[in-house]
Amino acid sequence: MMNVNRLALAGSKHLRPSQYRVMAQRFNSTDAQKLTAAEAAARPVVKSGLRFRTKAFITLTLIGAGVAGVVKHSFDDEKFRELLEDNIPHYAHSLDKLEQLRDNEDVEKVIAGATLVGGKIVDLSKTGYRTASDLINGTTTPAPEKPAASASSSAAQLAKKVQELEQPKPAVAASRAEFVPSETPAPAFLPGAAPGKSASHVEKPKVAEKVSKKVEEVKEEVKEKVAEIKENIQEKIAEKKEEAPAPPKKLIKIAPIESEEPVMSSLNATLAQLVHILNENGIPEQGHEVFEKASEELKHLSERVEALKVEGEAQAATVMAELTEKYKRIVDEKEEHHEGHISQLKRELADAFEQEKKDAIERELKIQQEILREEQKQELIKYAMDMQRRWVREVKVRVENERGGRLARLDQINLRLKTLERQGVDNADFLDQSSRTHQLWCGVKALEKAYEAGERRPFDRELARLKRLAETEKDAEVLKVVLAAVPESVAAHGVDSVPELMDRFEYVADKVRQASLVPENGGVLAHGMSVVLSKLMFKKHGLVPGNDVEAILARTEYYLVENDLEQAVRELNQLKGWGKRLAKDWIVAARRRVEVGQAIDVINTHANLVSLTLA
Amino acid sequence: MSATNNTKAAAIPSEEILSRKWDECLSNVIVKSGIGLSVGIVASALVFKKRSWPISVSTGLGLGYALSQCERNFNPTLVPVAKYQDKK
Repeated sequence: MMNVNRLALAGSKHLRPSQYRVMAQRFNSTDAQKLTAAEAAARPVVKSGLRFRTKAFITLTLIGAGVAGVVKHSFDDEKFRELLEDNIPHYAHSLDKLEQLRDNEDVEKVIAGATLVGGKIVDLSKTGYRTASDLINGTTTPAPEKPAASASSSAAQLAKKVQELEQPKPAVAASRAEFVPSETPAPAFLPGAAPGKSASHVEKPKVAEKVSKKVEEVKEEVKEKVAEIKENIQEKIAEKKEEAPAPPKKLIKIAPIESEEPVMSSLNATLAQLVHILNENGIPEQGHEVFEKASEELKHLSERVEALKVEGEAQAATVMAELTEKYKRIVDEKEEHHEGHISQLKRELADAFEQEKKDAIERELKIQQEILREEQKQELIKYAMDMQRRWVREVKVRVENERGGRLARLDQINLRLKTLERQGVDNADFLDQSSRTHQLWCGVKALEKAYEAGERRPFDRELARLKRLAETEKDAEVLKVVLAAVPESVAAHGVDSVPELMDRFEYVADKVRQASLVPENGGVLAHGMSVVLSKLMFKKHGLVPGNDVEAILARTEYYLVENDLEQAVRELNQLKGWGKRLAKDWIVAARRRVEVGQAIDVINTHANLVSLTLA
Repeated sequence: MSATNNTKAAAIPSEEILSRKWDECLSNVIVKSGIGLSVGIVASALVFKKRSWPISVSTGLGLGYALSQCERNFNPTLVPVAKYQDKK
């Protein structure tokens, strides 16, 4: 308030004093009584504001800040930098130099060195402060741990830890090593098994030894016995030898005894041998005598034997004759007896034989009878079966004949029934199809009516009905596709009619003309000029050639009048720029109408086709 | 403003775009120049000791602001530094 007052007062120097007093009173200022222009002029003028030096200093500082800010911003913003470079002379050069300075490594080193020095100074100052405070206070404060030293100590700790970690490894290795030899005593139990085996081995030879020992003992016994026997024999032989008289010094001669008997001859031979042996060995006289005696006795013996032989032969002959006679008699008797016996036996045998024959014949007869009976039976059975079969066959044939007759009829009836069924089904199908075709036609007509109405009318119900019809119908793929191609929104809103479109087109054409002279990216003024100048342009009508806005509009109008919406749309689509933007909605609406019209055409043809194929 | 613009664009038939723009322009002009006028009157009455220039200045400012808004409306591609870009 005070400033306002002062300003007002300062601004009111041109007023008359009375007016001035009024103003002052109005503003209720305390200075009003004191200050008037004259009084103010009488006072010494106090220069308001700052001195020139300060002003210059402030200005320069502001300018310097501004320049620094501009430079900094030009480093950051390329466009800004380019703008400045374009407009300020030598700006690019100075900026390049500054960049060099900035990127210069020497400068960086200097800066780093400066920071280091600064850090050191700070540390020194800190220590100085501490020592000073200690001296003053008489206390001792420990030097703070330098982060570098602490880092090194922590590194040492880490190293120690690493070493500790490494130490358990050899312990592990040692245990590992111990593990391995523990495995070797494991097979220690195997030799334990071996003693068992060796024990068995030992036992076996022991048994074998025993056996062999026994065998040997037996052998020895046998040997001993044999030896004994041999000895006995030898002793006996020796005894015999000793018993045998010593042969005389002179050789014994013994006349060989000839006889027919082999015993005698062998005896003779042995005697001769004995004599020979004795002769060789030498026997005393006694023996010789004995031997001669023996030979004489032998001779006697042989004579005796011969005599005996003769006697014996004679005796034997007589006895033989007697015996033969006796036996002859006996034999004759026996023969007679036997003959009678034999004839009796023969008769008996013959009877028996005959009896047996009869029996056999009877048996054979019986057997044959039985066989014949069996055969008869078999034949009868066969015949019976045959008869039965024939009977069955006859029956079958009869039945089949009957059946054939009726069957054929049944088949016929069945066939007819089937044809009837088929016909019925076909009929039903036909009726179905025709009813559906009718419905389709009705639906299409309804849709057409909605389409051709004088105003926009929604046709979603008709479309839904057609879709339902299409689902039930076979071979309706095209229909389904076409119906699906019509979007729901279009069906719900309906489609513009041609008069509506024409009306709208007039409006659109007007607007398009207004916007026709706007250049690319024109602003308000351009648009305004276009609006004004377009009113001075001539309107064209009819099928005019050309690619400008008026020609296009004229052609579109012509096609619209001709009811050729498709062409109209195509024409209007050729607009460019603002005209196109303005005409877009109209084109969309017209296109929708065209599409629905095409869909209806397709449905129409489909219905035509269906009704044709039906018939 | 942009949100309301979008919803407006959904409802406008395309042939009315320019008309809408003109409408907006006109309304802008009226509103902003009116505001400028009123601010100018108030300023001149209160601050400038009933001089005439604040009123015209203010109205002009309002008109200019409306004009720039119109320009942007008719030509959305317009960007303040466009001329330099064109030269590039």
